[in-house]
Order: sequence, then structure tokens, then C-alpha cells
Amino acid sequence: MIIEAETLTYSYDEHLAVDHISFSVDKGEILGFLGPNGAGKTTTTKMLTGQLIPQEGWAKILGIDISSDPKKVHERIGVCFEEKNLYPRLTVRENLKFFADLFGINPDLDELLKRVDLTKWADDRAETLSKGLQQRVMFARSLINDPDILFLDEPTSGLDPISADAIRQIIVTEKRKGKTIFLTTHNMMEADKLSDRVAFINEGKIVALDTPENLKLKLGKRALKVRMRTQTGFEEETLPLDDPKTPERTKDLLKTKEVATIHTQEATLEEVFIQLTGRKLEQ
Amino acid sequence: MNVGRLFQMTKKDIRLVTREGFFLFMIIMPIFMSLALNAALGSVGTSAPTVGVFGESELIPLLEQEPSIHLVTADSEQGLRNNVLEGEYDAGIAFESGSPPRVLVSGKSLLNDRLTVGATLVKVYREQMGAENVVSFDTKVVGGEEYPLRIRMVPFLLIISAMVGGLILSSSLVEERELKTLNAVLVTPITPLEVVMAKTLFGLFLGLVLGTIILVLNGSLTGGLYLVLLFLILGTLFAVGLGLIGGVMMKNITDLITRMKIVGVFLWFPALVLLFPSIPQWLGKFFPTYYFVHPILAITQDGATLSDIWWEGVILLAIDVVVLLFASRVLRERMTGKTFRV
Repeated sequence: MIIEAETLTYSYDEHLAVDHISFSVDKGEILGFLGPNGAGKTTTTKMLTGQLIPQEGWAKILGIDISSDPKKVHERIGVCFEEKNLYPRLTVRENLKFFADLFGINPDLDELLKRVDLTKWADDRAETLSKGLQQRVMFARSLINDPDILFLDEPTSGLDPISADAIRQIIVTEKRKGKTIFLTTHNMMEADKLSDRVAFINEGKIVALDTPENLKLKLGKRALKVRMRTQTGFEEETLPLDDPKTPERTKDLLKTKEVATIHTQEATLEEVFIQLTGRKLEQ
Repeated sequence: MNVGRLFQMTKKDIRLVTREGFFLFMIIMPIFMSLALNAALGSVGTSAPTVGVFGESELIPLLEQEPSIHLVTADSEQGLRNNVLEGEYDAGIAFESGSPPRVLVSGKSLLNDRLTVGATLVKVYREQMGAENVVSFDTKVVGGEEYPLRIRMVPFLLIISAMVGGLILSSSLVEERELKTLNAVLVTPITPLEVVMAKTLFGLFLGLVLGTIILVLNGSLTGGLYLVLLFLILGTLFAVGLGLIGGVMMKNITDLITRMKIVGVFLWFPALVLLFPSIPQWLGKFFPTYYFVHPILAITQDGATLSDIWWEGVILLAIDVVVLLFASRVLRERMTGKTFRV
């Protein structure tokens, strides 16, 4: 296991942010860590990256106890933070070079800038960049040391759809290269698209942990949505896929009505999450 | 401790400081003030009266050697007269071949200056003529007003320069916490101790360089150089200790600046006491910076040696130890989870 967490617990004063959570992540796996704001995602990431020492439990990263030897772990991980934390008065290139220097490495910055499509802004100060561009610099920074594990906290937050897709493409490429990715997000579409497994965290507890498919199958609502033209407009009918009467009813509709569209209506991770917690992910 | 990482951290901090107007202003201000005070005050407040001379005489080299007067050469006789009339010179001497020198005395000059000028002239005349002195004049300034006004301003500037080192350090720490860049830095191989050490050394270096520049610009880097540097280091360490405490405890830059204003008054009080000799000088001894600036003045102006000021050094060292111990305690407390609480 590349990441192992056992009964991790952390509370801020009276508030229990992470409540005895345990999980593990395999090499080359993308684990989507989903939950609404304040669920304990960032606190968990902070404990896994050695920014906070767990008050209970332990975490091993690459087989090393993060609390006892964080610097050995830091050499081999990359962290992309949710909050923008670049040096505003340094240029994009200077920001990346400074972090490369801290790792004592000399990577090809031009190549890295090209990968995240930042070449045009390489010599612009970070403070002059838009939120989306800053996010891209932070993502590039997390790749600077060619890490074995990437901890990505909302990596596409604030990005336009094209940029977000480009970042997702890089995440997939990194996975193909055998990198392990711990992806924290509340974007269920993103988690669904990228993750091998997803963990739902709510009020500091992991409420479900499985592949997106399994979660949707186990807890989701499988249905067929039929849209029909009427004299006044359109009408819709939802047919449960697991109902034995559905095939007959579908045939019926096709024969008797002017069917405009038929779509399978798979359960989304959002719906699964709501079913499990009674809360929305965007909350 | 990795020296390479300390260097990279400092290099980055220098870049950030030089790209922020406020930081640049803080660094340039004491140097600019030194130059401005030199230009504006000149010999104002000095114990030696200014004597202007015009013409050629064998007396001039002898007058130049006299410590009791400050000799200035005028461009013309009219210029000499004008400067005396305007009180720029306390006295003027016009030398003309074949005629006895004419002594011009400003009505605005003080009685003690007139006496000093007269006595010095008599002394120099006697020396030149090889006449035996009936009376020997030895000018000795007594009382608290022994330093010229320009020199009395040096403590202010020294405190500013030391505080700039501390303030740059604390601003840098507060800014890193406020922008959360520290979080990103601390998930790289650099340790929290290395981050703090790099910033502390940068603050210390900056304070020392500025302090040295101030002393050089004010012609005060005289006397026991090593002793001056020792007190400069001890004084800057005190400021750096305060900077560390501020950098870790203050929430943001605005908070830091507000608190610094309050602390600044407390720190500058000894400089105020030294500036106005009429204020009882013992009052300054209740403030820590007194033990930083007073010994430096004593070394550079009075030629004090370690045996004269060792006790002030001991007190300053004790203050440094207390401040740095407190700073390290605050750092430890705030470094819960081996990181900064941000």
C-alpha cells in the first residue's frame, strides 16, 4: 500500500473534524475523496501530508510514518492546495524555480510550463494572473519533483472547462505513469470520471468507500427516462430498470406515443451521497 | 540544517523585499535620514564653534589642528563676512598680506564660542611666534551636551536600522502565514527550523549592514571597531528576537504595523533621552535599547573601552537571552504538529 491511514482523528478545540477514519490507497490508484465543505477532507489531507499530527491513529506514506519522518515523505510527494498560495511578487517561473531549489533539483521548467499551458505567462508575476491561471501554477508546482504521490485538493476549482479538462488529462497521464493520486474534491463528476475508487466523507467519518460503479449500483437508482411529444409540448416518464414490467411498458410507449428521446438514467455519485448522508456535496 | 536551502529561502526573501515599496522604504529610510541630517545639521549643536578663514597665512595649518574650533575656508572675503553676519560662522578671520588679520565675530554667536575662538587664536599666535605660553588653554567640554546634535541623532537611526531587520523578519513571516505560502514550503524537504533560521539570519544581516552604514555615514565608526560591532550584533539580535515573536504572534501585516508603533515608542525612548540632555539621563536605563545605543556612543565618541562599558554589555546580553528564549517558546507553541498554525 502506498497510503495507509488507521483510525486517523483530529479535532479543532471542541470540533471533531476527522473521526477515526481508516483507508488505504494502492500504487497507481486514484482515490477520490468526496465530501461537502467542512466534512474533514482538508484536515485528512493535512494529516496525510504531515502538516498536522493526528491526535489519534497513524498514517504511513510510502511505508514511512508521516508523523515521525515527514521530510523523508515530503521529498517524494507533491501537494496542490485548495487555497491560492503562490508568492505574488515572484513570476510564475521564479515561483516554480524556488520550489525546485528547495527540492535540490533542476527540472526542465519550460517543459513543465508547456504541460500546463503556462508558457505565455512564465515571466508574469503571480499576482497579475487570474484565479484559474494561479491554480494552474499551483498544479505545476505539485509536479515539480516528479512525485510518487500527488495530493490534489480541488485541483480544478475555479478553472474554465477547457483548463479543467487539461488538468484532468495530466492527472490521467500521471496515473498511467504509475503515480498514486489522492484527489480531494466536491465535484462528483470529476471524481466519477477520474477515480478508481471514491471515499465519501461526512462529518469527519468515511461513510462509503468503493469504486464509483459499485457505489452507483449498490445505492443508486437505475432508471429509463422516456420523453414524448404531445400536442401541448413534451411529457416524461421514468421507468425503473429493475422493474420486470419496464420492457413491456417501453414497447407500449414506443407503439402508442411519439417518443422523442430515451435515456438511461444512471444514479450519480451526488445522488448516492445524498442517499447516504442526507446532505448535498455542494453544501 | 541544509545551507543550500537556507540560501534559497534567503534569496527568495531578498527578491520579495526588493519588489515591495514598503520594505524598500524601510531599508532606505535610515540611510536617507542620515544623509539628510548630515546636510541639514552639519555642525549645529557641536561644542566646537565654526570659524571661517579667507586668505593665506601660516596660522591656518595650526588652526586646522585645533580641536576646539571647526575651521572652514571661505570662497571670498565678502563671502566670509556674509557668513559671519548670517551666523553661519561663529567667527571669521581674513588674512591679508602686509596687514594684521581681521577677526570678525558674529553677533549671533554664543559667549562661550567667542571665548573659545579668542583663546584658540591667542594660543595659535603664541605657538607660531614661538612665545612661551603664559597661560595654557586646554578646552574641555563638560556636562551632558558633549555630543553634537548630529551625533545625538545617531541612536535614533541605530534603533531604526536594528528594528528594520526585526520588522522585515516579522513581516516576512506574517506574510508567509497570511498568504499560506508557508504551507506549500513546509511540504518540501525544508524544515520549519530552517525556514525560521533563514529569515532570522536575513533580518540580522540586514540590521547589521544598515547599522554599519549609519555609523559610517555619521563618521561614528571610530574607536574600538570590534566593540562597536559586538554591541551592534547584540542590539540587532534583540530586534530580531522581537521580530520573531511578532512574526509568529501577529495575525496579519496591519496588526503587526499597529503593534510595532506602540513598541516603537518604548524602544525609542532612550534615543529621546540621549537627544535631549536636559532629560535626566538615568531614565533611559529603564529601557532595553539604552544598553544598545549608549555603549556605541560611548565607544565612538568618548573612546570607551570594554572595561568602561562591560556591565552594559552584560545587561544587553541578558535582555537578548530573555527575548530569544521567549521567541523560541512562542515558536515551539505555534509549531504544533511540526508546522505553523496558520
